[in-house]
Amino acid sequence: MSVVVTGVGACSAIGPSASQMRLALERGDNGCHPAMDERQVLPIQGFGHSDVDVRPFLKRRKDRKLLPRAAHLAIIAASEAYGSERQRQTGLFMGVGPEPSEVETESALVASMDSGKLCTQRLYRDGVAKYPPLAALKTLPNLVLAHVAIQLDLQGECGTRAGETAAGLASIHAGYYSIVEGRNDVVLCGAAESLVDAATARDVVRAGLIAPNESVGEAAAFLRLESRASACARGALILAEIQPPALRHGKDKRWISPIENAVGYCGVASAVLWMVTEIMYGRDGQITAGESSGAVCSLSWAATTV
Amino acid sequence: MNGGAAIVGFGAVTPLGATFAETWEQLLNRQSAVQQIHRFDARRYPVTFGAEVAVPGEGPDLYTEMLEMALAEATQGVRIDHVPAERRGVFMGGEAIRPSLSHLAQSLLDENPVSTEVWARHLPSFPAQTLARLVGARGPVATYSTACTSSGQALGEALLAIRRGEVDVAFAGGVDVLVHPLMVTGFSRLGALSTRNDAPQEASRPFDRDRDGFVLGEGCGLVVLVSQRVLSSVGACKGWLAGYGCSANAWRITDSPPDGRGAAQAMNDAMADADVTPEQVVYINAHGTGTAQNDVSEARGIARVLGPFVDKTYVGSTKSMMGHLVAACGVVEAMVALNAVTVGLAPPHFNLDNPDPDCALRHVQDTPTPLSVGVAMSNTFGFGGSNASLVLVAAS
Repeated sequence: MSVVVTGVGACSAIGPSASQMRLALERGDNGCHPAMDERQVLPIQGFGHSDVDVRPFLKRRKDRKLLPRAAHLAIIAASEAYGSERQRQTGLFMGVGPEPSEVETESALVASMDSGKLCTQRLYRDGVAKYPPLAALKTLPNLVLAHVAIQLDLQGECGTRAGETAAGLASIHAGYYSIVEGRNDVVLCGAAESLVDAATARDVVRAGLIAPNESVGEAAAFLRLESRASACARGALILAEIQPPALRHGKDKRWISPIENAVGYCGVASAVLWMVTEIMYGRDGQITAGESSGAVCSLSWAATTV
Repeated sequence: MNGGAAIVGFGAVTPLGATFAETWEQLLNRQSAVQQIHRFDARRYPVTFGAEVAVPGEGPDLYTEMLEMALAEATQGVRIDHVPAERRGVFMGGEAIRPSLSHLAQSLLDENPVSTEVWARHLPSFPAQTLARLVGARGPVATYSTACTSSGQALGEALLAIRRGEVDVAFAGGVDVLVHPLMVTGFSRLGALSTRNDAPQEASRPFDRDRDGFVLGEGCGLVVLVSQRVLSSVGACKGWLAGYGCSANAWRITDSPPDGRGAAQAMNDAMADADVTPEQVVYINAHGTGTAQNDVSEARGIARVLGPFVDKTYVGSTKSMMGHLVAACGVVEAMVALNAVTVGLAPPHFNLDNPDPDCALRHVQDTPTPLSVGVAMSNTFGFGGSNASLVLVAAS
């Protein structure tokens, strides 16, 4: 069976949509800028913030207070990729990063410190009140996927792949086989991660995921996949054909995106973001991405010139 | 039954025992593992009890210890030396490793930074990476992080990988530790936990009218799945993972749809995948958390799926005795379900003193219940609305 791409969506520091990102790349824009706040102490050259407003994409504006940052980006990019022809039994697979660092709970933890040690009794006495009731709902990795499913009303097969760059591509592996094996007619697959807040950026440095004085960013990128037969039947524009992806375990190094200078290291979203960009340009491509966990995903595609 | 994956081994570390065999024995002996928290002084916390494993340690060391214990049990009598490393895969459900308090403190102090190695040991992928090293896997290695659904999805994805010929041997499961100061604090603040501090063993009350939340637990479970191609050379078949279905509720972050539609879809898909019909399912190990809305949604979903057979199929929740193992509950409960339809005995369901009329099902009672040998289903439904159901079939 031939699995094709019939929609792409992306947002990053150089644009809130795939088409605007393409224009920004043609202009040579760079979305990474030095920090002007407490993050200055980190050995990071620039921070690639996405300038996005998720409110027009939400069913209810009050949903916004529940969204972790990565969900803002994911909802916007997934909406763009999904397009206007929607059906409930659409599958959804996402690469997600680790739980954000102590961003939500740091105030509770700091209030619980005693002479450089965390004190469980202080956590109860002084920390609990500072623990945001909704913190748990912002830190579980799968909740980014849940928010996308809720806002786009996706009730088909769904799942996350947790990790770094390879996990983003693994979501496409899942989507590809979901269609080939007949579990879904249409699948949205992609990834989203935000690494620009102080605590998370600090952990990226600690983890050695970027070299000193490189940049970190935030991004989401999605593909709409369906069978060629389904796409042709509804007269959809076919952007690319996906070749069978492969997963394995190995010591491959982290894949470095050619647009990382412009958007920063975007973790699990990096490879899918590059893929979307290349498909927008009508270029064929191949990526083999490893990560610190040893997971490796290889993927190639043949683009259709638009 | 459609092409399933043969289960040749399983192992577990749960609040009820250091092995799956011990866990099963304690279930049948009607033992509850829910008690006052021992790992830290929880006396003044909003919730003072949980279901802890009797394994020393904390942080990544505890996860590794449980993985090694479960792997030792799961691989008894299993021979994989002749299976190429590229044909071995690892599929693990997990969340970020709950750090020790000393690690948390260290991570907050800039003058004493955490090393790259220590940081990597707290990633959700750490258990999968560890397991891949232990079993010498060079095939697919993946981590599924969908809260309570994580290890249910991991088993389902392992089944799919075997069916499509990506691997011949799959090590699938999950590990999680929830009895942790931050988890107790966080889930208490969310209002999701039972607060029966005076009677911990009565706290986990799935489908009971007086339920008031779930009980945090912890543990690890692993199954060894193999393709039919290599089954005879790897080990004895203990049962089959025959079907997998998953869905998204697309409803709300904390609630489940009252009509149980997402749960029903996952169960229907799993049965269709296994090519079994509702009347063949003799036992369902429910997700059954003991939260107000999950239980109603799941019960209605089960009723929709079973239709006229709803009065014939037994439904039970072992969370009533061992708490909620979250990322590990899917695999442990799937093993319980398989064992139940293999030996013909459903484990008890505790604290169902006043069954909620909105959860009308044929509930297992608080003693072991005889069953027909045959087909079971195991449900896991996660925060945010990720659902997974598995169909398990006794070895003929």
